Amino acid sequence: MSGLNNFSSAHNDRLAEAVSVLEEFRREIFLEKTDSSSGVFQWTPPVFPENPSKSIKEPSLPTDYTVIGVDGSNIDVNRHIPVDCFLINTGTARLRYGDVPEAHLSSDPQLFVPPDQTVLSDPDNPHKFLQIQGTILGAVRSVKEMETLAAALKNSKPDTVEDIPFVGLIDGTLLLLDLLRPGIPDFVIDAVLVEGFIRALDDIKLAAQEKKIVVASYISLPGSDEIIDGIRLLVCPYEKSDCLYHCGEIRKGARPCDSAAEGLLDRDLMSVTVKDGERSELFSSNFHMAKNYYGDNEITFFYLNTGYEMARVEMPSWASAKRKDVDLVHSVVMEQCRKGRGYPTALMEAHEQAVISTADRRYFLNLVEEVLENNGIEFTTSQKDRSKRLRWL
Amino acid sequence: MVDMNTPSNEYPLRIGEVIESDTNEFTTQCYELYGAPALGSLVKAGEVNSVYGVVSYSHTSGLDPTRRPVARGEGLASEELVYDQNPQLNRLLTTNFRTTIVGYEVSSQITTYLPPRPPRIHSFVTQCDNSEISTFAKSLDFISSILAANLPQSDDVVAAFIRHACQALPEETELRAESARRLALLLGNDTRRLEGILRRIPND
Repeated sequence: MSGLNNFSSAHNDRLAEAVSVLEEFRREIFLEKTDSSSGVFQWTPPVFPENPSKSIKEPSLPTDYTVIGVDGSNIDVNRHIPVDCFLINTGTARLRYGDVPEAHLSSDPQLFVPPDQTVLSDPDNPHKFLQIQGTILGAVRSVKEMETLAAALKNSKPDTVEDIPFVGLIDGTLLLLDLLRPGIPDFVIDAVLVEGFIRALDDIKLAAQEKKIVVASYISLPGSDEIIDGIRLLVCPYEKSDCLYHCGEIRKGARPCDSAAEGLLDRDLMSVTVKDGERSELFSSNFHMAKNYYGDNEITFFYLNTGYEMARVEMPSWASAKRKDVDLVHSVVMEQCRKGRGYPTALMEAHEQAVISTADRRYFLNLVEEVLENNGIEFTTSQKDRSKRLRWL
Repeated sequence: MVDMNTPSNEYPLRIGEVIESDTNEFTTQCYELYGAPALGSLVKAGEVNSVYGVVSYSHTSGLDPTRRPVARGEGLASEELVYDQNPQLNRLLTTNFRTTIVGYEVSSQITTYLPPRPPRIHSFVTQCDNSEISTFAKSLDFISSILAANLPQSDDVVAAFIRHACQALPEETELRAESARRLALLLGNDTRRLEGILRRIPND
């Protein structure tokens, strides 16, 4: 137990130092250090606002507004069955508040079957392809969610003469960094990120020119440490923060920047600076890989103290360009969290629409088996899968 | 696309659809939350050869049995505001009601005993008109089966039916007295029970 006590004490000391660095933040120094360390600093700090320790009060909530939440779930490819198919189910909850309250809940399950729907092919070389499963399927699901949100926002007509605002919410990050890992072929990035996710965001941006639309994503218990990366830069004692040159040989935990950063997450830091119901200033993500693709949709984010947890809210830069739109997202998400007892109601209901239960999964498998057998294809399965299903004593 | 939302009701007389059915009773899921007819009302299920029933029980709960409603109104001025501020509740809660089967229609004639088969699942359920209420109010054959069913609320269901019938058919001036005579015959020496039912049917 003494080990845990030591850990907590060191954690608190590091947090106190990080808070003090944030409170004494000076933008010109940060920009200077960013410039001088470009290309050699091994962390990825975001673009900091003028006053990153500021806590912004909860703005007033409009009387009439609509929240559209979208979430998804999937049944991944099962290698124990004779067909490499998968299923994506997107759930939508459209909740209107104000003079004419109403709710619309729906789900849209889509089955993807071989040969064309379950692989991504290189348009320049049809022999190069990648099976959609695992992480890539997760990214494809994010695309379906964003496309569903885009369609719901575009198709929503204001019911009154007054143009009421629409807030589109999605669960999880807007940054599909999994797609930008080394080894993912360019044609996959093009098909999923550029032609899928970014195009859907562009569609929403286009719709936002005609209607009052903002879009944001909500991350519960965020694990990001981008702001902490900025703290590392700020406390770095060297004029040029060349991590490998100065600290390449030093063990983790003993580097100079570790005293204000090691083991800390952004939410730890923000929990000290952002008060109940309030938000932080807006930061801009600075992942170089993403910058090449996201363009106008590059990700800005703020931390929101919902009173239940420190959440991260992301918005594409075009959506957060006007302060009143960030205020709208802040007030609406806060109210959603109050209604949902800690998590936005629209996302909770979208999740309920999207979720695929164990019974549904079993039914899906039976249905695939039935269709294949009706078409004369024997439904073979592995002995491993069979033993898992039968579970005899 | 699976849509959870009830389209606008173009058939206002329809209350809902049969979701469970057996020889003695059927259960209806209402199209509208809290849309169940009053206890003791006469309803019918099916577009042809309708099956008639008297509402004997109603129940409102979450559509998904694994999701329990939670208190939401703390700090709100009225109950209505709970629904206004949580519009999804109208989609996630549902009202069902059970009816005791009391007769059926065959060749455009209403008979006041059990049909050969209960109504089909998804049969439309509608409120009955005064002529149908009159048929059952005059026969009262079904009262014995409701009393015999021994539901905790049997006496209230019978009293409520007679009360509704008296209100719907003011021209039938003898209806209350005739019902009382019929109940006296059925209940025999159980005067306490008879008195209890009659107390629930005011004179005016």
